Amino acid sequence: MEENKTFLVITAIVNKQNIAEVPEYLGSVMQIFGQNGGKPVGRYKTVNALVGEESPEMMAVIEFDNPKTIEDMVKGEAFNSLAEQRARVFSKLNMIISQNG
Amino acid sequence: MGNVMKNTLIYSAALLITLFIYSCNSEQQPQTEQQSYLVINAIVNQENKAELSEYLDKTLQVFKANGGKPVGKYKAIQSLGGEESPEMIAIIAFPDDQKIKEMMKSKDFKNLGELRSRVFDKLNLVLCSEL
Repeated sequence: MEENKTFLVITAIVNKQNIAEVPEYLGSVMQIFGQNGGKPVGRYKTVNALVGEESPEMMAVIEFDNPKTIEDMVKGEAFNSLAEQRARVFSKLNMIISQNG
Repeated sequence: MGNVMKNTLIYSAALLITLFIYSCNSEQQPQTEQQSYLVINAIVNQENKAELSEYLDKTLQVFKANGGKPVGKYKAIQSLGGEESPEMIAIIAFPDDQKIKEMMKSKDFKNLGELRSRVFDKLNLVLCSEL
């Protein structure tokens, strides 16, 4: 039986004006995830929105040891130091602590 | 004559090994092929929550009948920021974009339209590729 794993699911809409900063932001944030034990499960970009409004353009799933690790990471200095860039790069961002559903 | 036999055996063995390696690589090839993904983000309508499992079972059947393979299914336990956070996220891999588009036009998928609109307050279906 599979144990109940913890995932950080991120869905985002990019701010087109600052799209050039996306790779730098992703590089920095993935490093922080890695330092906190995060293991990338998948990263996806939208080709075509089929149903719904305000569809996400990018999505990432990262596995962590437990919800507490994610909460601590989000409160951490390294993650917060990216806040300004994060706000510039995305016009909409959702970060969700999830479990296998 | 002995040498001819020996050489023939060596060549045959080499050929068999080559064919074996080739067949192994051929089997692995589909895993490295570019796939298309259907990513689903949803907020459940709490009033009709009881119908959710029926909808999910039926949809999964339609996905599978069209070559879809579930990659991951996640339920939110905490939103860390953002408005209208999805409560459920599912990722299904398909052989190509066309399969997804055809499935969505199909009678089986459309038959679930009424149930789908009862079960979800918000629903996004997005055709994706790997980033």
